[in-house]
Amino acid sequence: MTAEPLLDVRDLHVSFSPRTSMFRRHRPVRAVDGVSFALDRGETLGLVGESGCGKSTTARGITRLVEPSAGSVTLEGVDLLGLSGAQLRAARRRIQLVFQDPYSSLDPSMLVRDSVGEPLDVHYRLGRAEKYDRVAELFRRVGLPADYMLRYPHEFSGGQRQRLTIARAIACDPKILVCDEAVSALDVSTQNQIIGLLEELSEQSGLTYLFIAHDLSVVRHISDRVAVMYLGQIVEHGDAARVFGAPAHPYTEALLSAVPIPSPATQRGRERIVLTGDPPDPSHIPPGCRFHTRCPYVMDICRTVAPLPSPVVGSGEVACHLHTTGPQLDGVAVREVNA
Amino acid sequence: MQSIQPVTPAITLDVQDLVVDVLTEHGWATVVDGVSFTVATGETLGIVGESGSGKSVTCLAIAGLMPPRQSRVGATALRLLEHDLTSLSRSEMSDVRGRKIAMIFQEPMTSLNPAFTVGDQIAEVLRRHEGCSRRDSKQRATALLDRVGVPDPARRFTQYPFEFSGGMRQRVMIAIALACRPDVIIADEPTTALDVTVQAQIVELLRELQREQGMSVIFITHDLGVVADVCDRVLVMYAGQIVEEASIDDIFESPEHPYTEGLLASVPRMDLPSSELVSIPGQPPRVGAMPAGCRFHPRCSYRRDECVAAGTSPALEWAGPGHVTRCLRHHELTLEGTT
Repeated sequence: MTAEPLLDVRDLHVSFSPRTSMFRRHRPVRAVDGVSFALDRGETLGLVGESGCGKSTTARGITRLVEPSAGSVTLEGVDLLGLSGAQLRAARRRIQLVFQDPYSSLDPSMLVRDSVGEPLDVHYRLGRAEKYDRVAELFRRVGLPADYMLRYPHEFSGGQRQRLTIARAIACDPKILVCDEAVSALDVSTQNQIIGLLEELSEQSGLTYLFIAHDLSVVRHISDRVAVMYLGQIVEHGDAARVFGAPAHPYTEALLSAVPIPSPATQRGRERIVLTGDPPDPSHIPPGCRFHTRCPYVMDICRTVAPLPSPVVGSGEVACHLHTTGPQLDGVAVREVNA
Repeated sequence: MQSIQPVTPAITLDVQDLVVDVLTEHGWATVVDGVSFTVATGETLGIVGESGSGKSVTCLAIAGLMPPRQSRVGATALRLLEHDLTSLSRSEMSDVRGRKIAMIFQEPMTSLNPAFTVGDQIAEVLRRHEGCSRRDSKQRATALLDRVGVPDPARRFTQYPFEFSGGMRQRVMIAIALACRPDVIIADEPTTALDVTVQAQIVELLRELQREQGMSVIFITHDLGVVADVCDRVLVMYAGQIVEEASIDDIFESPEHPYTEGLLASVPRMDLPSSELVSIPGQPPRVGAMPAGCRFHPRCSYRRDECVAAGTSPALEWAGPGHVTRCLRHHELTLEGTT
């Protein structure tokens, strides 16, 4: 028997009901529609997809910044969705978030010492001296000189601010860090420095990451496993090397082919799949396979029947009819359709 | 007998020794320092660099969009075809800006007026700069929407920006930019806020339009993948200066400046096995606090005493046909490019 995962998310649903107006009835938006995954200790799971696919809402649902409408989120054997009040606050210590914009996530009128130390005030009772000792230690861990503690956020660059928000997130020794586009606003060189820091923290203390980003090359680098979301559902998941090397879902294939390679010779010789149109609006989810409106391989069955997950050769699962009906790929890379 | 003449491409834009100062809280500071380049007709010139390198300011200054009281713009030459842009009055410049130079920015939500329909905003440009009648302008605006790939253009003409997705808004911005058939389009991070799938569509559209209309494009971006995909020639900027200029293949395959080498090395590659992420140590210098000698020396792993010495600020030197670099040691160094 395998050990139970650190975090087990089962059939998570999050929906938003737009306010009803006098003139129009709005449908509820199913932003996350039955998402399941598990995270083992020390592992990094990358969550990718276009804007509006529900990846950030998944992160917020897990941490209960938005209330999921159904499902379960089990962290070390405790279902977070059943907790309230003090219990929920205590559980949140173990799962922390880092957001994209380090400019809006630090209070400009507070010394960074106090911003970084704030979670310590909430979760522990410490004397001032002890608290500031801990903050100094956090500064050291994220690679900032301790004498920067008495500065204000505006005195820091974007990369340094992101180090501050990471210091604050790890202040209470969380088990899981949910990074929602945590490096997306940074220049590539700074971005790599922050990723290096995250990797270091994971090696030192076994920190586990749910890493959400739209930049696929970054996700490929940092993740052990990857899940691809489309319109509120995971369409494919597996080991990062397998998903990036042999994508089994047409959407994953198209997503990867859209990333330009920073080498003119390679880029000129590549075959590109340009998807037409935008992702459909999550309040009008197409019937059958959600991707059928943009899929270059669409078959009749895709328009009416939603595909179920089936195993992929190598690792993971894919939800696509190509694997079970039609060409019956049986879990090999989708590029074999044309071969 | 006819003599064989070297073919010199027609120059659309000629910028010589552009200097831009901005007013900061500590007084005037130079943010663009002696930038010179030309753009040939039909060419796509990429400008790359980290945030704060002066790439956007360079283009805003060319388009006459720097705020007059908080900035000073000087140049020995600033020519667009037959127009000397330095001698134009504000109203003449405004006319040139609509008809000859058009700009596309990163954020298509803030560049469109939320209170007017999309169609009105395109038609306004045509009425103002081309003197079209109301009816003509409506017809031409609808045709433009159709050309940039907005489905159902007649209906979309009457809709407001909030009813458009990010990708569709960027198409509208391109339609506005194209309205008067400009000679130069300056695209400042036009795809940065978009999903990769939509980015691929927008890049493809720009490429098609350029082929069709033969205009020149200046493409400002920090994404070297996009540069490899769309540009013919590249300027690399660092701390307000051009540090290297070369054809697209030369810049990627045989860079001659350590900063370019660092930038290339820091981009994770999707098509190669995952490897250690490299980053350039440190941060770019702050405005008003430029290091003496070579501006890149504090971050450069090849630096020698001569690079640090004050008064030896390196000039741009010839490094091959169409290739210049601002590095004192480029003769001795063999730098690594991408393959």
